[in-house]
Amino acid sequence: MAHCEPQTLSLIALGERPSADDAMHLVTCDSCRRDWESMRATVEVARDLDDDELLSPPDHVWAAIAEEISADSGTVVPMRSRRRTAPWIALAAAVGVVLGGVIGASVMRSAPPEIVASVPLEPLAAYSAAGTASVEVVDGTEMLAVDVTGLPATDGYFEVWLLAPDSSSMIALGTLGPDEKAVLPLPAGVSLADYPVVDISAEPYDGDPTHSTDSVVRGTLPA
Amino acid sequence: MTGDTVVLLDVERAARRGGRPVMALVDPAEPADPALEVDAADARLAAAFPTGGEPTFAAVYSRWSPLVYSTARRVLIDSHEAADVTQEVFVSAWRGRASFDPERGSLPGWLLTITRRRIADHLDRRSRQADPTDTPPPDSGDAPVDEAIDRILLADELSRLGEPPGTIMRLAFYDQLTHAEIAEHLQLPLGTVKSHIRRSLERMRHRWEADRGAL
Repeated sequence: MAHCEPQTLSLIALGERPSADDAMHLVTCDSCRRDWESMRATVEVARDLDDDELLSPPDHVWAAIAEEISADSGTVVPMRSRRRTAPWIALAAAVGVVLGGVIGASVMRSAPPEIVASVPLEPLAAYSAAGTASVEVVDGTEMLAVDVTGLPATDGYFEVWLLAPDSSSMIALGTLGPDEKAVLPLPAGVSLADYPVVDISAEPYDGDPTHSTDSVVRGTLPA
Repeated sequence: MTGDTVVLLDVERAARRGGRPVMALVDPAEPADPALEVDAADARLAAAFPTGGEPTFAAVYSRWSPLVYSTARRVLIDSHEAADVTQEVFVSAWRGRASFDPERGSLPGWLLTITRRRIADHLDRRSRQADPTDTPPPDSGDAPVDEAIDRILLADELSRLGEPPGTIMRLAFYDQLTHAEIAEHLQLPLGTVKSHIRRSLERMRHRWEADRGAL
């Protein structure tokens, strides 16, 4: 008989009963058998997977990597070009303290911006843009600095949002400049614990103040 | 998983606002493959990596660090050591990024090759600490690493199949439903379900060939 249908072979690999013809063919046809066996191996490993098979590394790992690579030399592309390279991530470790509400005196005192939290922005769905968002304290005011590359072409503009973890509520902070950067003040009454998700959306010029739902990049500030 | 939830909420919100449909199943015989968009995004990220700066590197870390960390964790058990391996791998990857050629291999495969070496270093160090005069037995570390990588690549692939194939495969794997039962349960045509099953199994198998990392 003809070879087994590929779709049928995958169903047999999952444990469905083969027809008499397919069963007979699999006994005699090496090519179909190899295909079936290899899919069977995939099924067996997949069925054995634990719920927590894929774990994200703890947050301090990224902070340590970023510190190490920015200490490498001047060849590292700084996160923001007009700033000295070292402090941006060294201070990321301080975020837990600051966001926990215990704002250290050393953070408040300094006039140059201090970065108290930083998170990579990852592309959503069909996009490939990427960037970073960081919370900075400038003269005692918290600002959100975003720096993105690879934004898609648009007829509209890009807006920066803070979202609640379940996206049920959100705050519009402002728009990105043509250089794909922005430094926007954080409203004093907003708790980053309630709105930890930094989101950049593509917005049409339609006068609708709500989120377009077309998110390009996103990152969650560490709690 | 959290990301998936958020995306679904966005879809719901778009629907409520009368926005465009996000996923349209055009032809039941050849349903749309949501994983292709994820593939394309991964490919763009890998292409940008060798010459990219920190934002690209941060995105690469976000996308693939769970593969590295989970592999190390599964083999070394100790989560602190797994965190150390992850740090070593990504610092090496940053310093050596110019040597990665997207034409010649996959970025996760390249990262997993570095991961294998770092895990072997840690196992060496452990056995030397246990018995300083002992030379490590040849190839002792490979089998567990191979197995860990196989599992983690499948878990990653399963998590990025998109919908509906992700749900279809979870029902087939874990609830052990037949394709007919899945079609009934999800109210999808039989052909659509069969097509997704075949394609998803192929993807998962192919992922091994592409990303197992050099031995």
